[in-house]
Parts: sequence; structure tokens; C-alpha cells
Amino acid sequence: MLEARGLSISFGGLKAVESVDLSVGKGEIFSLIGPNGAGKTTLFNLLTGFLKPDRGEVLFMDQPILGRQPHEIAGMGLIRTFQKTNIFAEATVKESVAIGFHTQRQANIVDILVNGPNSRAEKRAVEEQTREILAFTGLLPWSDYLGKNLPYGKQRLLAIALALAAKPRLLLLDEPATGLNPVETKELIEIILSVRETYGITVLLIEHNMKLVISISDRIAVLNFGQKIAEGKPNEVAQNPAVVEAYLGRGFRNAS
Amino acid sequence: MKKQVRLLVAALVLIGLLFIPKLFSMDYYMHMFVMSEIYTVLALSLALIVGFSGQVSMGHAAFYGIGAYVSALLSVNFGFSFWVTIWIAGIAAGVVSFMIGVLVLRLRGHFLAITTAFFGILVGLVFNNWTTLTNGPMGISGIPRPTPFHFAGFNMVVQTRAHYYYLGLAFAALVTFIVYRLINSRIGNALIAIRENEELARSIGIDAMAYKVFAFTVGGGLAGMAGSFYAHYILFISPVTFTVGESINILVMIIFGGMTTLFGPILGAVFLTVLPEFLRIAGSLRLVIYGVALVVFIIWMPLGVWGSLKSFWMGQRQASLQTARENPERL
Repeated sequence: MLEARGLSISFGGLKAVESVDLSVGKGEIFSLIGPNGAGKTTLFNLLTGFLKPDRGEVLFMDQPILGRQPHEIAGMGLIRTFQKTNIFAEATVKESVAIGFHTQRQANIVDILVNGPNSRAEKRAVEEQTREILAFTGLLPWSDYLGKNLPYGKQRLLAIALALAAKPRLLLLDEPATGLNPVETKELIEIILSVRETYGITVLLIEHNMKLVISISDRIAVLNFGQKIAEGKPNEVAQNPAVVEAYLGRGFRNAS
Repeated sequence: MKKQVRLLVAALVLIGLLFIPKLFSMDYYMHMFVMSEIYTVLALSLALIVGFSGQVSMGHAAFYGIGAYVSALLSVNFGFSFWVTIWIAGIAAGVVSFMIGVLVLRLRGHFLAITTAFFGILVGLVFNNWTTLTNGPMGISGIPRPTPFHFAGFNMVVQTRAHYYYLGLAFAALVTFIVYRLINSRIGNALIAIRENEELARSIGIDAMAYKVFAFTVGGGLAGMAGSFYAHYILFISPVTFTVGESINILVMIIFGGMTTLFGPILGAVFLTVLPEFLRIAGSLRLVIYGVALVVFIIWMPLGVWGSLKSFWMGQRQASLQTARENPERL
């Protein structure tokens, strides 16, 4: 589904991402972990067109996507969320999710001005599907709240709901559990798992919460200083000496 | 029920508006109302750019002026009728707006504001100095009134202020309707998304640049049509009408009324056209009162008059939702 080969980018002298290969298969939940500053978010930005790599190539659904604009890549079904809480602050929850359906709406300008059949059918469909997604993410009771007035945990969910509205084939979640309490984290895990089951969406996840990562990932890749130092099944990676060293430093090799 | 109430209110407002020329027969009042209509179009077109898309433009009067000059020159030099030139003026202003938009809309915030202000100044310089075309500071006089309009046995003559009032009312209503449909469509959704969070908008597949340019083009084009209407109403145009000061005037109208709403810009346009005139009884204190009132409104109602009312109602609704959630038995 997603193939990255030899991706590299440096900022000045800092090699933020260096020849990283990544291959995510259809239907997988694939996690990307690594210490702070390892280059995970930079890698997301490279994959989604927000940054241009110095070298390397990216294939999504067997098509090269490098050099395309973020909105074009999003239109192909590669949708990302952001590490910081990124929502439409002054729009209601309902409106925000409705905005997410943008790429699936085609009504032309004439149809819009006369409120023609396409435009009306589209609005009805969006309304219906918005409800569906709000129900799916448990945000239905919050429909009429402004984004900025939601509690933090719900804002994080709203960002995911918005991404889901954009019809992802591959969903890139950047630290979705940051700042969530254990109950919310559990809800999140269920949502991610059913995103795959209900909608058949592949998930690529950046996360620091190890419990979450180990419990839901099919495969994990570990980044450190911009390089991939390990990849494999959760338990393999957890045992990998290089990974333990990256996280805990030398001398803790037996601690895990 | 809610829809019927709305229709009833709309019908009453429309009847009221239609009767205004009967109530205010003085030329002077009618002039103010016609100007209110022109400013309504200008304010709505600017609200599309600044309010809904979040791109601050301080050069809106330039498009207003381009429309006025294109329309005036075509009718004075080539005898084109207003009914033709208003469309050409709109298209010309729209084309210029499109080209400027492509160039400057990659800038944000203050940078965009300053650049568009300079564009406004530049256009003013052209009006002033390209004397062979624009007659410079002397302006263009002798612009003909709209020619009598014959359509399907229906004769429309535009002579008196009341005639202009009705024509302007139709124009303003049409523009209100266009903006209403736009902001309630996928296009409006995309614009609001860009205003709220451009990065996030791009991440869900919205071509931010294309939509910003679209709003800028439509806004500029509508302002150009307003310019054409102005030229064929006042029958004289000169560069002093289309300055950066005028751009700021329009900007103040939408800030005052509430630029993220449909009704706010209309309210701001009408109120700020009429208010300074009524303040004339205050004599030399007029501008002081006007200025203080604006500052007070901007400090205490940053969303504009209409925007603040709207958010107050929404707040009430949310509060009641909250109570309902916390005390389900009270539902």
C-alpha cells in the first residue's frame, strides 16, 4: 500500500531522516516509534507532501506521490493527523466533520448557486455520513459544540473524526494518545481497531504509549536519529538490543 | 415552523425595503440608501475574502475603482450601455483580482494586508497619472445613466433616486443571494476550513491556494460590478473615491457588523453609511463620536455586532445542551 525507499532529508547539518525504507501492507496497523527527535513526524511530513525529501521515493497504491501537493496526496486517500491538536476552533464539531468530506463533493458552481439536485443530494449525504462518523467516534453528544470548547480528549477524537471523513485508505495518526487519560486511551485503541475492521483502513501510527503500540500493532519500526534501527513484530522489537539501547541507553540491556 | 417564521420575516423585511422610497422622499435620504446598497455589495464581497476565507485584503477599493473606470470608459468612449458594461466591469475586475490573487495570496496576515494595500495605492496612482486614459485627477464626467431597459413588454427607466434605489436593491439582493449560496456550499466549507486552519485544510484534501484565489476573484469581480453601478449612479468618477482609505472604510464596515456572518456585513454597510450622516447634528464632534464608537465596538464586540449576537445565542444553546447532559432527568 505504502512504499518508501531511501527517504532522506536534512535541515542544515542535521540529518532528520536518513535513507529510511518503509513498507506498509494493506490492512496493517503499523507503528513507528522512537525517542523524541528521532524523525518520526518529519517522516510523516515527507510522506504526506508537507515536506520535500532530498532523496528517495514514495509509492502509494503503486503510484509515485513525491512532489505532489498535500491536498493531492490527501485526495488519493493518504490522510494524516497532527501531533499538536489541530482542529477547526471556530467551527462546531458537526461542521468540522462535514468539512472533512470535501474531496467527495463535486457539485459545480451553477448547481451550488441554484441549489440544484446535486448540491442538495450532496448535503444530505454529508449530513448522514457526518452523523455516522460522529456516532463511530462517540462525539455525537458534542455535535453542536465549537471545536475550541471541547475538552482536550474530545478534541483529539475530533481530529481523527475529521480525518475519517476525508475517506482515508491509509490513515497516518501522529501520537493520537498524547495527553489522554487511561480511559480515553482505551477508547482510542478500540476506535483504531474498529477503523480497520469497519472501514478496512490501513493505519500507520506514531505513538509513545508503549502499551497502546504493543497491543494493537501488527508490525513496528523503530527510528533513532533519523535512521531505522529495527523493524518487526511487537515482541521481536521489544527484545531488540538496539531498541532497548536507543530508549534506555547502554548498560540497561537486560533490564527489559 | 422555523422555516415559516424565517420566510415571514424575510417577506416583511422585503416589503419594508420596497416602501422606503415612499417614506423618505427627500433626495438626500434616498442618496444615503442607494450608497448603502453599493456598500452592501462591497462589504459582502470583501467579507467573502476577509471574513470567510480569512485573507486580509486592504486593496478592495482598487477593484471597485477598476470596475467603475472600465464601465465609465466603455460607455463614455464607445457608447456601451450600463446593462452591458456592468458585466464587463465585473469580469475585468475579476480578472485583475485573479492575477493579483495568484501573486499575493501565498502571503499571510500582515504581509498580505500590506501587499494588498500597496496594490490599492498602485491602482490609485494609475488612475491619477494615466491621464490620456483616465483624465487623471480631473476624473471622468458625463457618464450616461443606465439606458431604458425594454424586456418582454416591460419598460424600465432609471432616472430618479428611487429608481436607482430599486435597481440597487435588486443588485444587493442578488449579491447577498450569491454569497449566501456560496458560503453554504462545499466551497464555503473549504473557505472556512482555510480560515480556521490552512494546514489542516490541506491535510484533508482542500486545495487552499485555489480556493483563496477563487474567493479573491469572486470578491474582486463583485466589487467591480459595484463600481460600475456607482459610476452610472453618480455619473462622475475620480481617483479620490477609490483610495486605500476607502478600502479601510469597507473593512471597518465588515469588522463592525461581523465579517464571518452573512447579515453582519450588510448591517455594517448600512449602519456605517447612515450613522455618520445622522451624527452631523453633533457638528464638529461628529468624527470624534464616530471614532470612539468604532473603538468601543471593536473592543467589546470583536466578532462584530451581528457576530456577537450570534455567538451569544449559540452560547445559550450550548449551555442548555450542557445542562441537559449533566442532568438527564431535567430533559
